[in-house]
Amino acid sequence: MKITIGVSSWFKRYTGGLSSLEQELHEGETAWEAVVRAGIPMDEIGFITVSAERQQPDVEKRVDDSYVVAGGDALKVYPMIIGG
Amino acid sequence: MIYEKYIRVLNINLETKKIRIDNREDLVPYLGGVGVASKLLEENVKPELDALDERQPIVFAIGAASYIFPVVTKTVAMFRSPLTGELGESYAGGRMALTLFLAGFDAIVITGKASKPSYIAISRNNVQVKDARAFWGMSSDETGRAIREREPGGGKRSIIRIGPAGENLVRYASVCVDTYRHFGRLGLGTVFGSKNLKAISIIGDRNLPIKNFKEYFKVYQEIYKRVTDTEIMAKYHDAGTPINIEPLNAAGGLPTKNLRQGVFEHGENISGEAFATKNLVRKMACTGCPVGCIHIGQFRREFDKGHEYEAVSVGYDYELLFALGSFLGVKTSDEILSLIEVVEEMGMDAMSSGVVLGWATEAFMKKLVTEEQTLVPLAFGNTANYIKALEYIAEGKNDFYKALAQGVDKASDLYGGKDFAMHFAKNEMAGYHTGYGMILGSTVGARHSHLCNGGYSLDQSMKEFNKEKLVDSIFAEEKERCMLNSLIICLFARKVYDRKTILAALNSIDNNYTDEDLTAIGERIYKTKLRIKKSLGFDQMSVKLPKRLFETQGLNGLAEESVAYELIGMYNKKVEELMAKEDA
Repeated sequence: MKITIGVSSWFKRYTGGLSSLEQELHEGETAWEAVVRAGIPMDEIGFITVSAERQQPDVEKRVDDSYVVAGGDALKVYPMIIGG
Repeated sequence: MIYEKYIRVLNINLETKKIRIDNREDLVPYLGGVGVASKLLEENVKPELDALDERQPIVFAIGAASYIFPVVTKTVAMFRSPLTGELGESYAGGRMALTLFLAGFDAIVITGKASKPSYIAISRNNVQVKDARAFWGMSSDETGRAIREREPGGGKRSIIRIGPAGENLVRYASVCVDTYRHFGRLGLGTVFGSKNLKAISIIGDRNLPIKNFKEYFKVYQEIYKRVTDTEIMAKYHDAGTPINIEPLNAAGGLPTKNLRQGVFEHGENISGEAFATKNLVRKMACTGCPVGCIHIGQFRREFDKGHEYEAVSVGYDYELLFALGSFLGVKTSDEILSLIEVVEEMGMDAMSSGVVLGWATEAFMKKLVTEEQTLVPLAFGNTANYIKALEYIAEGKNDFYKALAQGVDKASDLYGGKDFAMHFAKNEMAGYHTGYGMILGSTVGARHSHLCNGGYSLDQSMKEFNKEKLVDSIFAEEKERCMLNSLIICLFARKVYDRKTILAALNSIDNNYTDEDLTAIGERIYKTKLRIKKSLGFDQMSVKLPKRLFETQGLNGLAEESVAYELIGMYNKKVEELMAKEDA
């Protein structure tokens, strides 16, 4: 089973310019762990959304760091908001 | 003053044209920057007089580490705000801090009103008030060009100036600094206009040898390395703050169409990536900063029939894209740049301008005002009419636009629609509909800006909402930023300048402070600001928040009005405790 990880434009620097990539599902892995495994630095992650086939495929939902991914999940990772 | 135990203050009276220089030992406990400026404002402000009375002061100050270390580039301006009636505090980069430092002044206090339009020319050995009648009515860009041609000192000079909005006393008129930076918020440009002051030119040309160069250079290099070789500042240089559009829009925290929505359906077209791909032509830096976060975008404009075009370049960042983009439903990067160009030319704060127009659009939609008043049918996304409306505000075209020129609070007093007049204590909102941190931080912040305490940032980083923790964090950050702004470090670099780094920097130039000293300085400055606010009649317990804040889902869902007021009450108790405490 695979999951999809989409990245916002800032994170394309860590995915070789790709806006999304697929990766094998690791049982019991959280969304944050999956994203870090894909090469996104933990301290740059602002939040992650999930649109899950098992839930509503068209709705992106923000998830906290306890969310355990399942096959078919499409994650998207966004950076921290910056500013003064 | 570096290596001296005093603060050197240049006093200018525009009415008498008298100039006086004071070396003030008593200001040293305020370190510099906002500390010194607060104290000078407290001494000179006249609470019984209107903000635009000629006897009110304008204070500028640079910090204790200005220009000496990387990214310490800002100058603070303090005044009585004509927009809120209380504390006015605004920061700008550019070359101003460098030139003041090298002209040998830590602070400037300007009082009185010139008998005719004037500008001030400051250099190390000479300060003159000169005739600016020929420049009155010019845009800030034209004024800058005219003064550049008249005044010497190219390359070592800073020119700050106002546009027509400042002359016409639009309450959120800005002061343009060296073309691409501004004292944007709270109406410093209006106070300039009230004094017949069109511009200030400063030449800084002294050479200042550093005493313990070895130690200084070691500290400088360490800071420089962290700024340039680590990821901390990379985003600011890359696409800049506009990268915020994408995450805020995805999370529902992007104020859209007068905050009727937290998500903009055309967000992708106005993202940092969209601007970088389509419009970005140049990046620039304030003097003394190796980052280069100023993004210049270009758009094409037809100036005559027959395919006659010109390329127009303007600076952009997140706040401008929110205020003149999503907040007005403007859906392309070119259109946003064209609106930015108008506020630049007129010399108005982009954030207040956009938020005021957002309210005006909704008031028109709800028939609180008629087309007879608005002169053009205002509608979200109608850029051509927004351009006209901005020009009407700047010139005070009719009573309706004169009301808009006084800010959204005043306009909604006159025409109704207070529930959707998006301001915090009369200062128009910033671009973060993120939750209680933003609401509390902007309400209690000394100048009602998101920058006072970074409440929006806490909304993002705080994993679980906890009232006490939020109040404590905002209170601590407000005091800490008083200390940071006494130096004056650009807040983008606040993660580089931790306490250890600040102490190393200060000690390397013979300013021997301890961690406890810095805490005491921050507290001392905050108390000074609170005293000024109180004397000007501000009471945070009487602030009324617009209902819209609690009707539109944000980054952390829907905020509750009762919780917001409870948080303000909790914060107020901390303020009372602080004010009852003896100075350390």
